[in-house]
Amino acid sequence: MLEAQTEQPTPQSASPKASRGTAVPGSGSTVTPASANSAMQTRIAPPVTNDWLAGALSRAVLARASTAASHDPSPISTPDCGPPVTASPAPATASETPRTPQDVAMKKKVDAVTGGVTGLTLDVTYSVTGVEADTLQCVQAWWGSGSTLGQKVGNTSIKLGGFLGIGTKEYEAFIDGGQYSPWVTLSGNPAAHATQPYYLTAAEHASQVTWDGKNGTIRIYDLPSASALFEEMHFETAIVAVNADKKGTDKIVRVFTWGNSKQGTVQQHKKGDKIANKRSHLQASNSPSRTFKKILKNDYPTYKYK
Amino acid sequence: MAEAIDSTQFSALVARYLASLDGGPDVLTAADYETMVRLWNTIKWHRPDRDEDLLAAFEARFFPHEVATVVSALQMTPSKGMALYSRERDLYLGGAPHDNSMYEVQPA
Repeated sequence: MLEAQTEQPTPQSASPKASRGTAVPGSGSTVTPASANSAMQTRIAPPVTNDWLAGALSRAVLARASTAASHDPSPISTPDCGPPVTASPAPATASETPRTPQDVAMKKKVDAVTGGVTGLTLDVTYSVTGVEADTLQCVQAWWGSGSTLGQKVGNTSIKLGGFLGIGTKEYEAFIDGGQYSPWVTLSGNPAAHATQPYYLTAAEHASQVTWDGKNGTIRIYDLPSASALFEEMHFETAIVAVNADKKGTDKIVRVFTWGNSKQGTVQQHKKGDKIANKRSHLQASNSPSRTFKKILKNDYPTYKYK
Repeated sequence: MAEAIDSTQFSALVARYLASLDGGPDVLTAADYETMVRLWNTIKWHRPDRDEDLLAAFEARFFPHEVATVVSALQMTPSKGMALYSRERDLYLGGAPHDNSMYEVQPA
């Protein structure tokens, strides 16, 4: 139920809207959706421009990179109305780098390289390459319901599920390690970071992040034992490039969801993405859900990110 | 610094507390629960490679059923990553691996 409420864009959903027969941005072209009878024909001769070709190539390669962790053996697919990705891209202009598949893939790549969720335990490592930033961090939103703690956690309350207001469930929520998290409000610790919603403390950052200014890794682990005291709890963890491109704003480069129900005995994702050829029980996407954004905005209204 | 213990002692502790949780004669104290917390954390993060059936039985008996009792006995509160933490004892149940909340299991 909850998964249906939170936005979990897949690499496919991040691909061109052209598959729905909409205008291709910047191309001036309108692509007609393929019907059952004309699918082959539409694949062969779509009305496209060089700009559109270049965009489609970039999106296809980036989508491929984003699903590399799943080791999906299927070839890069294009929308029914799109051209094969082997088509030549548009020539590079003076202000942009060449857009060969290799260049696009090397330019920015974020992959889970090892780990996942085992039982209750999260231990995952992401590799980030080609992203100019001061360092990597993560921001973790939490929401849960059915608490037997006897005291509320977090400063945000969200309602999810149901239809027309009927059957909605209320969740307690907070940015984990943040100023309104129980780590601060109940356990009496300082926030993991003094001003930002980051999850890793300075000590954790030192031992779990490697970064050379453009490439590195981040390891994130957790064992949420308080699951035993909740009917369900959900985590959405964003990997963040700090001060990306020196623009003074953080950039979310990957998000993954995980969690459990029934007092920590049932995982949120039965299978999840494949990482190193194993089911990870976490599910990654390129952008955060509305729920994540709401919790983050409520707990850290001045935090800027893209 | 994790407290060192050899694998035979570790298994013996696990067996003892599993029996206690299953209705043994012991009256469990806060110190006992503190030990059980360390046993569980160790199994989760640095699982010894012996007595697997025993370890699995302890895990299944301890979590989630005993957590509320442990929280009460050790006055634990939710912590970072929704772990549980006893400020009085500086002891974590779960969370990231914390040396002071685990054993360092050495070969017997």
